Amino acid sequence: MAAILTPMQVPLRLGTLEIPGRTVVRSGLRWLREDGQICHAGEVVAYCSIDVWSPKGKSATPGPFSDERRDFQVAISTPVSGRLHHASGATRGGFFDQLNMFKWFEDFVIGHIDVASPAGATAEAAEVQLLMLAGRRTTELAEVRSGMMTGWYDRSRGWRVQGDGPMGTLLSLGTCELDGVIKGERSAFLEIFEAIEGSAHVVFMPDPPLVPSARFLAEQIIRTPAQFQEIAQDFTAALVNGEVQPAAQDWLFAGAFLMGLQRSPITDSYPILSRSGLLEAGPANAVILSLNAEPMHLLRHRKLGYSIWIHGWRMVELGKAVSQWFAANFELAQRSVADIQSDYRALIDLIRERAPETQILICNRMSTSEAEDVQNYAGFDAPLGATLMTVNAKDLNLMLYDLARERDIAVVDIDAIAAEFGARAHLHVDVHQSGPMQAEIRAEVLRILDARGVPGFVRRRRHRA
Amino acid sequence: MLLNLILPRFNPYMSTAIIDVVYPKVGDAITIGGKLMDVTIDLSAMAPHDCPPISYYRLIGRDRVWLRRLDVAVGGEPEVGASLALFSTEPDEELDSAPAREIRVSIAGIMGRQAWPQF
Repeated sequence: MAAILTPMQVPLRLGTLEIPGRTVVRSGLRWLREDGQICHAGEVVAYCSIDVWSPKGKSATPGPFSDERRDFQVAISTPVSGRLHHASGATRGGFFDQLNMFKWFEDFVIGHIDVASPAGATAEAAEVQLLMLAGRRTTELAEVRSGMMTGWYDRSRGWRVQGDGPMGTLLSLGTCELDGVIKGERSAFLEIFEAIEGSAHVVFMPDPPLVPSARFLAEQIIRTPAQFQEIAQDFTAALVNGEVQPAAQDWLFAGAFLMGLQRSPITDSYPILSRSGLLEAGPANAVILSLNAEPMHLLRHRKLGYSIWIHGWRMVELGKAVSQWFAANFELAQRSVADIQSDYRALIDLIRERAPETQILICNRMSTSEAEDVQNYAGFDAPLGATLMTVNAKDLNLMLYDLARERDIAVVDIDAIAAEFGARAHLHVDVHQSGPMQAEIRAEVLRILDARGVPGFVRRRRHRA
Repeated sequence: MLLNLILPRFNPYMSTAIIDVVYPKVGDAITIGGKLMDVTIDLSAMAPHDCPPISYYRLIGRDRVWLRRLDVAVGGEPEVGASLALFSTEPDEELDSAPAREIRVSIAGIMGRQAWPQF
């Protein structure tokens, strides 16, 4: 005889989150699921802002998250499936749900889940699951607290600590085609964490204004503070003393440009707030790069020799002073496919010199075009790779496979996935994928990380699509 | 027989193309696979945040013809459907009849200079 099931209320409590000697504070909750909505275990139902205050007050001493504290958030998942009910007072609206006005109490109950249980069963409160999110603003002026990870960040990241196993860090350093793959539809890493179990940490670096080519990333690793100072002085002196008076947009660009040159994300380490206190992660266990970040020429500073790339359409939008500085001080340095391979080798060796176990993943390029219907190649000058975009992409993809054999890297075969999905329906201008295609690429990235044993990136057996 | 070349919509978002290069001169014979024109499709105005909004294409002839009239010049920006050129299948054919059909062309994305106004 079947047991009679009745609704049982499972209270959802925040659970422990503390750092000895500091105070963890939070905002009110912003709900992502309606009161009364059915939710599955592991589903993110709400989020709030969070901060770690020092003993002497909000800003007396810099805390471990001092450069992320204004966009430090936690996404809250239900540990059990059932019908969600919000607790009164969990959300306060307005600034109360944006600013960190409340102490984090482990016994605070945000709501409850109605689960179907045998009659007479009693439920203990369940601890919610936490996905921590942090954005490092390009400038503290970028005040955008409208949602989850909605600011202008030069780095955003998410992590979840589960159990005592080792935590792995994935660092994404590609162009825009990795944006949705890594950060997902809500730009808050929800999909990638829903697809894995274990303690994992995902870091995303965007490509504006400086595109993360292999040579640029290698130069970031080896650039000394003195060399950076020389670059900064050269740039600022040129702006101040140039013929064109810099306008506001020149200075805004200058700040982001110098910030990008100064960073070295591959060697970064990161503070991690967890149920068991403050941990440290990084440098990354796995780095994912993109062949779309490797144009056939880079901009090289004539005097100081450093190399950068900025997407052409951004250059069109530059202020006059910065634009003139580029024209006067940089040259376009042509690169061959072999040069790009050489840059990759140098970067991979630099990374593994410091952390030999680092896994490197590189996304290849879509190498066919829906606009192309060539039946006769007589009208294209040899070598075809220097003339035709699609042949160039094929040459670069082949180079990646040679590199994979030589340096034991993994190729994320976007070319094959795009062909299987159909570019007309799923790929805009050879780069921007549809949601389903992003999900497929994400699954492929996670399959590679799992197969290569990157800690924390174990795929869930039954991933909800 | 007269054949015309009109600007095709080979990118679903394009409305015009900028003529970068016209390879043949009026009167030149075009072989199968001969270069006709290189064009730039600039989608910056409609999709400023989409990368890459500027792309480059080459039009290749797939008929054995003679170029008899050019309707565009380098730097021009004809709209989709505009006449670019008129060809004939004989070198000295009269041009007073209507084109029998469009010239067959192949189109391919080519490596263009980057959209850097500074260089």
